[in-house]
Amino acid sequence: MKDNLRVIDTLVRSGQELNISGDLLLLNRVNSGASINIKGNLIVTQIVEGSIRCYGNFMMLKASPKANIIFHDVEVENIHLTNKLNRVELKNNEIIITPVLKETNWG
Amino acid sequence: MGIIIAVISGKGGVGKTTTTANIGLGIALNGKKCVVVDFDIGQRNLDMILGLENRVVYDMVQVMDGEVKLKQALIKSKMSDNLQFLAASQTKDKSVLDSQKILNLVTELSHEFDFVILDAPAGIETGYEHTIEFADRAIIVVNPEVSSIRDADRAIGILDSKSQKVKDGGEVMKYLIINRIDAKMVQSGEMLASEDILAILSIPLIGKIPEDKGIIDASNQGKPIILDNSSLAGKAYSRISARLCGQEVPLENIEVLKSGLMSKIKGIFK
Repeated sequence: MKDNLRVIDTLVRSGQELNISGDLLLLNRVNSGASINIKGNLIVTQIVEGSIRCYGNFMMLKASPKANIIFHDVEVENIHLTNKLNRVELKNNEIIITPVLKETNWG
Repeated sequence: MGIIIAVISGKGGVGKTTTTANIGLGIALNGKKCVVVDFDIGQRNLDMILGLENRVVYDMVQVMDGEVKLKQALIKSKMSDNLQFLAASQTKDKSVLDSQKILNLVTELSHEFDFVILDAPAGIETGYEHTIEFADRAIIVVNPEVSSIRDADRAIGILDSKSQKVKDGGEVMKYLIINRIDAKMVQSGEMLASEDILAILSIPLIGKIPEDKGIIDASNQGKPIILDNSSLAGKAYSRISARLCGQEVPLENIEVLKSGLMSKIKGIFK
């Protein structure tokens, strides 16, 4: 994960489009009308209201009722996500969603 | 050098022009020299809201093209000696705007006035980009509903990438005005609450304006609502103007319904 990792702490506003080939740690929200296309892994710590297309090994995010989240061309429905962080990954051609139960300390 | 403030919203009809007129007058009433400029070329209406409809002789495009001097085109307000107005052209369209000419105009205005307030057109096209190009600060006007918030979010994104200040490595100071708040609807959850809007846009709040039916009549009469001491919206605009002039005025929570004894008694007789 540390090769080619980008860290962004500004919010992604409507109309902004991030195209990222590596990994991304996003410490702010993704507003409605914004979109993120990412080939690597993604961690978003705040709420997502825009759209996300992720093709990495995994992504981590919170429940985001207004978002459109696509992981390897499959839509991730919000009902499967909890309000704390969730780990979404691809294993044996199956998408596995596991809630991250431990309180995450972003220090 | 005066401060150049662009009033923007992204979406149309949220109260940009009303806000420009009221804040311009409010700043002037605070004793600062202020000029308001209508950048909505081809669809001007700030002149009407300021009650200066029939006084427009020359417009800002003629000033920019050097056809007339700035002094000839500036119109003095009837309501305050400190307030002047520069009209948009009604016959031309937004394609006449040119960066160098705009820079010359706003620079000249900022030498003469403490505050230069630019009323942006709705949308995010070239007319909008030219309005924010040389602004030091921006006032973003939103209504508590999702489409206004998203359009404002987009407009802020453009402001943060295309204004000259940002290109020079600086930042345009931004202030949020939430307009047309209906306390009843906020309490019942039908209208977005201020905290939600602030979380989405993440810019500092400078004031909230309650929904006020008097604004329509005020606009039609050409008398900005800030002159009406009994109007809640007018008072809200006064507070915002004072804050812009550097005074410390605490924010009032207009989203809470007043349910004192007097209003209950008044309610019975309604």
